[in-house]
Amino acid sequence: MRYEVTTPKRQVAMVLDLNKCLGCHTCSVACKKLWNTDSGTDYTYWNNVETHPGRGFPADWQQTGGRTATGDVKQGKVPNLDTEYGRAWQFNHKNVIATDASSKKKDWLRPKGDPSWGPNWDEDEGTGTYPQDNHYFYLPRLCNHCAEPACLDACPRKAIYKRDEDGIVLVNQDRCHGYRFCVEACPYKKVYFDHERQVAAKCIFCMPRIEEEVAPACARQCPGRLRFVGYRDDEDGPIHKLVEKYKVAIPLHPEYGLKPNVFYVPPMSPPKLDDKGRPTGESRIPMSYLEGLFGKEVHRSLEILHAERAKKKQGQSSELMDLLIAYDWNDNFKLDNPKAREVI
Amino acid sequence: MSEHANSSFTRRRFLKSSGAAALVAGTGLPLMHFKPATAADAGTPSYKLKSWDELYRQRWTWDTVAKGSHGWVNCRSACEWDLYVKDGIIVREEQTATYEASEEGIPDFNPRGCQKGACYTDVMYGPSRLTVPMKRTGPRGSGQWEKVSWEQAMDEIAEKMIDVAVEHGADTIYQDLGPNFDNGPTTVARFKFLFMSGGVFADNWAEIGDLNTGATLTLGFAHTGGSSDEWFLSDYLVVWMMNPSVTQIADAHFLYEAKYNGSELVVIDPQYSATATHADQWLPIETASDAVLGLAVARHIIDAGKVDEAYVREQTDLPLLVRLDNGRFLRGKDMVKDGRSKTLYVWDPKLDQPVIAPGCHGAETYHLSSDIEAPIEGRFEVTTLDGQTVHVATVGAIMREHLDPYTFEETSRITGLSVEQIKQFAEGFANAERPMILSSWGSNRFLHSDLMNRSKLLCLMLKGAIGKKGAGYQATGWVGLDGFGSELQVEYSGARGKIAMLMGMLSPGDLWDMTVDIIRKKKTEVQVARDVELNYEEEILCGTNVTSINYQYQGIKEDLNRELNEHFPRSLEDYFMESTEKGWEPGLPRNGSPKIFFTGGSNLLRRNNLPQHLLENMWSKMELIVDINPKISFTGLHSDYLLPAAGWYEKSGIKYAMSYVPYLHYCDAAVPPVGESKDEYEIHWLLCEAIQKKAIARNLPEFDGCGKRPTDWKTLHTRYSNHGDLGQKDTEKLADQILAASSAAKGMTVESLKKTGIAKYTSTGDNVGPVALFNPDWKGEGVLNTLTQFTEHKDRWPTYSGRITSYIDHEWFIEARETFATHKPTPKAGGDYPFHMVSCHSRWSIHSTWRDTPLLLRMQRGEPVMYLNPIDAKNLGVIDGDYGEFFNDYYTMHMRVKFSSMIRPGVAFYFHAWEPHQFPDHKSYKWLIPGLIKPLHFAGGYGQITHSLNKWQPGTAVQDTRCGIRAIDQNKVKEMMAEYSETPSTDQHSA
Repeated sequence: MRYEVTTPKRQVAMVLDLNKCLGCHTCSVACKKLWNTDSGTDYTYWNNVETHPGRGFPADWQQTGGRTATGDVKQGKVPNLDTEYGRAWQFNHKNVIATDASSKKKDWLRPKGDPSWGPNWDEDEGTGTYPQDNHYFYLPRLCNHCAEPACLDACPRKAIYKRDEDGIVLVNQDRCHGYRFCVEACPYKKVYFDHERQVAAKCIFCMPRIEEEVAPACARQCPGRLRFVGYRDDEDGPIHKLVEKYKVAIPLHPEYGLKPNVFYVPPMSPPKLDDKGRPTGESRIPMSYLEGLFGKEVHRSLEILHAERAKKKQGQSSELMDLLIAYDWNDNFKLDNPKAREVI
Repeated sequence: MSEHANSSFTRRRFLKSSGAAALVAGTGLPLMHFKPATAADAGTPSYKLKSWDELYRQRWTWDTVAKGSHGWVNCRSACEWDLYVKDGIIVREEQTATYEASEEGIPDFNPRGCQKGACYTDVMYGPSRLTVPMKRTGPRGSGQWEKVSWEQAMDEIAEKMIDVAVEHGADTIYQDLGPNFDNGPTTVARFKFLFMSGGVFADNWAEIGDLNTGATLTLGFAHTGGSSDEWFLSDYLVVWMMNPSVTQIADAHFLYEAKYNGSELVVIDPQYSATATHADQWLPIETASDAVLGLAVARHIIDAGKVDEAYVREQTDLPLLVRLDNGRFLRGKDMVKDGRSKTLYVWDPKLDQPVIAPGCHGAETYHLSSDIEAPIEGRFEVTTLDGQTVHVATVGAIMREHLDPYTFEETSRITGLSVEQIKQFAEGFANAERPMILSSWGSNRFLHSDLMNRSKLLCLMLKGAIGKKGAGYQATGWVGLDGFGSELQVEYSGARGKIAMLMGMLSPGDLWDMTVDIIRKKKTEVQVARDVELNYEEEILCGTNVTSINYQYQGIKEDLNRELNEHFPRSLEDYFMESTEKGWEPGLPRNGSPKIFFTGGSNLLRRNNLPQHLLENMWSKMELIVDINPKISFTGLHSDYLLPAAGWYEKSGIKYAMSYVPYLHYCDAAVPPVGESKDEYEIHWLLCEAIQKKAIARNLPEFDGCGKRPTDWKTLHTRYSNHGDLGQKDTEKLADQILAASSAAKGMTVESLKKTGIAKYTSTGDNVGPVALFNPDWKGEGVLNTLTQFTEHKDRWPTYSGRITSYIDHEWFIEARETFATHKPTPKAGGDYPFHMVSCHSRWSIHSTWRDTPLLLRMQRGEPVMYLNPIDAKNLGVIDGDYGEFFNDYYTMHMRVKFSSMIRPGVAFYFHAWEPHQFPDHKSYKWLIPGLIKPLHFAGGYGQITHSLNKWQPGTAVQDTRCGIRAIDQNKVKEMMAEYSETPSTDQHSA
């Protein structure tokens, strides 16, 4: 099915600069502590950080879903709780710390159930041959709040909608009957199932915060200062400049056809070494890999980055570099919303 | 009771900036479009949720907000957080993010923080939180405990302490300092108790491998570095043995922002670290070959004519004259009758003869500036006092010869790097205007780390980069919070206590001498203060170090002597004995191994090397072990009493004063202590009270402390409480006294900090101690750069020669051929096995805090992992996720394996600080690590080479350890582990 999605009045969006990502997961923890501490959602990470190349979270999420050439939503699958998401492991602190005389065996602290996957299982693994071309980088992910969300189309209850005032994609959990078609349909695998409340649950772009002009927790709490938040139509805002003006921020998997509103500044990397250990002119992360994630636009994006940085090296000015440096961190977030003001 | 949260922050929504906060606080306007609960109905919560989205909105509400930080954790950052309290529970924390940019054109510090700080609440309310006092009922480590009252615990501990001190002396009380450490009432209380009871402070800075002895040898202090935004100013950033993306999360952004600003970013690391992924140049160097690379760069700087000659002449020892017949400096005693041995010489080309070097001990003044155009490279003949003609050369001339072998080709052979890559790095460094090297605490864990760090510092000194804004050596400095030091010593509040303290430090004669020195302008007040500090350490403080104690009593002498046999001219024991005979080694406690151990600032059994020997030989001789801790740690599990300390959000605290972010960070008590826990100030108050009562009842005679000054336990509580001025609950009052006595915290009060959380330091403090920043001009404005005391004010450096030191003529260093930084191969500690065991601080924990927190374990593998390169793993037949067997001459242990392409083949890599009870059989990799002691670090009697807390002491090197790895049958291993677990613990206690 395909619903008509009217273009929202405004669209809030985020840019993530991968050249500043530390892989520290503060975003994931900030998000989790705020929204997903209940038992039904304990396995979910609306925001996660994954090491690429890697299987990601849920495992192998890139291999399912998207739209067909004619714009229909492909049928994906619901990831397995143990082998693809990873259950929220329980631990045996009590047995280990507070043994008593009756228990002879000293168990060691470990997750119950011998897990085989989790939200950050392949952290820092990467690929390639040391030291010539071994490589990895971090990719933080959240719901893309797509202009053409597959989850929305997949819902037979019409429970998913795009808010008119800011374009945030939400699940009306009062309407949701927990069929999980949305979980299947989202090719980014960013809709989850709340096992307790038996409804779909997904990133709400910190909607209560946005309503008060406060950036989402994942963005505001990011110590790497790599996230920019604002409205796409705000020409003075960081999103417009990075996405439209300088065209260095590009969406993840544009070929899925969902038109994401989360964009990435792609990663530069140190040069590969040849078999004698001499630096080559080629970056460690293969361009083909980046193309697979971000499409062909990634070439231009990286060229612009290198060119603007070269200007700075020569002592010239660069608005783009200054923007990415984020001299005043508060400027990373521009959420003045006249509508919100009216409500107050 | 103290007020637990600021009442002006009642049920308000989030605010974007402190400015907005002030505005709203003033008008009382709610910033939201739905009604807040008013103060009147705060007690009757509303459950009206109209719809699903209200449920989400409801999650982002709170009753009160307090300011907090992670005051007691040994993390090298400081970050301020808003703590959100709902129904008496802190539900979450979020950064306040109200820092300002230091200067125009520099990025600001916001928001700071990391994933651990974002979930301390999970530790605070977590499964290993200690909430009631406990007493062991079975053998140590048996896990058998009973809950006791505070009264009972204090009574029994006090009684035992008196009994043991009567038998063994008060200096049998022992506490290892940190690494968990704040500058607030918590640590003042711990230290004041120890100081006043006459116990021994055992520094573990070197023992944990964090003490930069290379920096001490070169600069006279181990800790140096300014605010992290100074990184942004460098045009050539070299991250050398550090991984800021992982270990300096709040500050790392400055590196990547500097890169956008046009700086070159170089990462030198055997591993392709998270920081290396963002580098312009990654140098995959052979493990422990770093000194060679530094020496090659130094050679290149000289050969390329890029030496900053004026700087080197004035600030460094390169122009000093050395006798070529014996390798010793030309000294006053060589030249004049009754000449001093500390008088050193440079060559004056105008007079064509040696003249006393400006800044050295024998010089007229302590100032380095001079008109003498002393040559850096030169050879001369000198007639000595006895009429002998000796050949002398400048340190610079000898150095050039010393560096000669370190060509790019030779460096390539040893480091495994290509000549092209070395050349690119060296040329970039030589041509840079403001080269900067970031070298972390983790850069001190090889036996020869001091040589590696000396070589890095050599590159910088040749470039004139040390003490130059935007350049130099970043290895962690501290703002001096002098109130912290004074409040743990005073016996009265206010000025009376401080004057009495100073009088106690100095004899009237000393006082007179120092006054004269200042009047005659021979020394500045700071230099005099530094002398007082040294005097204090020698005459008053009962200080030693954990390495020395362990070496003597842990039962590892034989092993360590064997390990080091071929690597030094004499045996380790020989060096130790000489050090003891000459009084270089503190020799405390005087009566053998310590009998009373207070812990809580650290986790000794978790972190010590070869803990199997420690448990068997030292632990079993301890008569009392008390762990005062919010957490049940591995050490706690092996103690006699567990006393629950309040967590960081439950007490008044001051995060230690790192220079990375030049703001004082206050931690408020957002909620009352969890369970029956109490803050450390109160715990020690109660303990002092119990001891004093018993001491009076038993009419206990004075103890002589550690032999330096007596302590009377009949007045212990009187002294601890400043003669009654500090009551049981006066933690905040003590915090205020610390602030009031700190010159870097002018105008700060607990009341004001409860509102703002942070306040910018007003100066760098007294610039006296071994962790000082030495920038007397910084008054809270601008980037906090360091060491201008020497480079701009021209004060002598606190080294033997008064200069930045490349050459050390201490007899041990001459004998061991370490006069200059040089390359020495890493020994194979633990035996000749194929894998080099290397560790790094963890992304996921600060030492063992957060190490067992489920929320974060789920974002790892849930258990400790050893990282291996996939190629090595394939050859071994080990599968990712399986338990592997790790072994060497000391032990065989098991842990899971994880593959990563970032790991250098031949390296077994782990992120540190897992609790032993997270491993099968509760045995960690520590059971394999001997922890080599560099014999030269027992040296003394030579300026900066003098035993001192935070500065110079023997340490243990873990990174030289080797191990073998085997794949094992996974089913068998699990059965085997279960069997291991059934064997009784070796931890038998006689008491």
